[in-house]
Amino acid sequence: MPPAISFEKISRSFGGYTAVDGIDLEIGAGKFVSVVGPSGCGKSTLLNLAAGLIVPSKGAVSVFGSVLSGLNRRAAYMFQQDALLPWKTVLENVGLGLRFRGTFSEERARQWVERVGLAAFAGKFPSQLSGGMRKRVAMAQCWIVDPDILLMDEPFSALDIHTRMRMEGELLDLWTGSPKTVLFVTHDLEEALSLSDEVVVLSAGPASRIIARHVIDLPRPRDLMDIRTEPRFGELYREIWAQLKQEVLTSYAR
Amino acid sequence: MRGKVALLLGQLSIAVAFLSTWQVLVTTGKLDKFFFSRPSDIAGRIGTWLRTGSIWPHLFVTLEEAALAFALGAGAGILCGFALARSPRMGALADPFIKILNALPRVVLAPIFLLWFGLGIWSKVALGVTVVFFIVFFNTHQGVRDVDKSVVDNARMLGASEWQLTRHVLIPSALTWVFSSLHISIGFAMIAVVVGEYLGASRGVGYLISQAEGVFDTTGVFAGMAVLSASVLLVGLGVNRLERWLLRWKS
Repeated sequence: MPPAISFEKISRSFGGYTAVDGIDLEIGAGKFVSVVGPSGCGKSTLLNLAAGLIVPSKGAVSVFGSVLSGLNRRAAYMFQQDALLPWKTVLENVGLGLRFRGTFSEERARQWVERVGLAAFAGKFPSQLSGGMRKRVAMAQCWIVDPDILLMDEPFSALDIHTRMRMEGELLDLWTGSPKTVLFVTHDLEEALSLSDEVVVLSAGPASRIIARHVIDLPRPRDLMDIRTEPRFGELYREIWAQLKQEVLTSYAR
Repeated sequence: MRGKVALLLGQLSIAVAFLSTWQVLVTTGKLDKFFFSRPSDIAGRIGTWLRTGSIWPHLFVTLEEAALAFALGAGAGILCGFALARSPRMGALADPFIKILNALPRVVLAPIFLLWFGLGIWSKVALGVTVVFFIVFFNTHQGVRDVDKSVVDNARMLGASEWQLTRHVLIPSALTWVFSSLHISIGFAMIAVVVGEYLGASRGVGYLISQAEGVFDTTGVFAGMAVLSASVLLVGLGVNRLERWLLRWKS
């Protein structure tokens, strides 16, 4: 099986500013891969390239072996900011992808609303929900269309630490046993370690490149509440943080 | 609740103080009755209007003109605002002309519209349209261009076609802006049609006021003004309700 996403010698500039340069990366199908790096290192650019929202200045993105042109129809994208439609209810927001595809079924939308624990809030508008609930809606919105690839851009960064851990747990529960590929961007190394099969470290921008790839051999299923205290977690953390720290310091210096 | 009652009492006492001062000043001859009329006379005049029902046809015409002006102006404003926001080239092309037209004081258009559309309701509607159009146009324009980029990206990633994007994201976003300027545009529509009536008409509250002015009937002028502000306030209350319902998702 070809990789779910492959970046081939990708560079992307915005005006005179080069965000990422010379990126070669393959994301294996069914894998959970995180990209970490200091702020402004072009992490989101990688996601937008994989989504087809922007096109590479050089190189090409392939999705399951075929070169991507236009939007990536096999991917769903969970954004860092709130991207729900504020004038639609929870139920309508969750069912949005189905509606756009012409396969709307209220029953399926309801199932997903229940699955993310919002049954009592189906008729509410996003402004009436807490930050964590809005993320749940966004998650259901992505999963209901049954994408092969999930692109996630620091989806939980705005949440408090406990809500965040719960959401990470829910994400893992959904993903475990599914054939879906996840490309997860975060600046939080602990989050990346506890969720992923592989962690990719990007250098400080501009013109970020990949400086290391680490296989995370922590056994699954993982207990997110306790995983941070395991010795192997600590080893991996120290190893990767040693590299990441350099990049963070460099990005401060710029 | 107690704060609310106290506030209401305070407001009421200001109104009573103002009106009774006015009443006393005129009655004792400190102010000339010919120029200032008297609250009691004004109330009496309004009472007569209501009792004989002579006010209703005028009020009805004014409201009809305002409603038509609003409907036409808002419709055209939404269409143009949308078209120009979606096509940056057309927007850039039209930009100076829209600015020029909007810079024009509308009152000077009234005589022209009288020539073009006659003394009936359409010259007033036209004047109202020129006011409402620009308010709605600028709000729609802003609403379409201001729509959150990640909301648009999200809809597109979820598979929205161009038309679905317009229908589910861009139009609601633009309408948000239009709704939140609803009471401004409706209030302005009322003002514009009254100005139109004032400058030349055979019916309407504006016409009533200008008739009274023509015969130095200050009581009639004030009574007309009172009726006008009361109806603008009432319409405004209704619009506020409507606005709250339409924007209920904004919590």
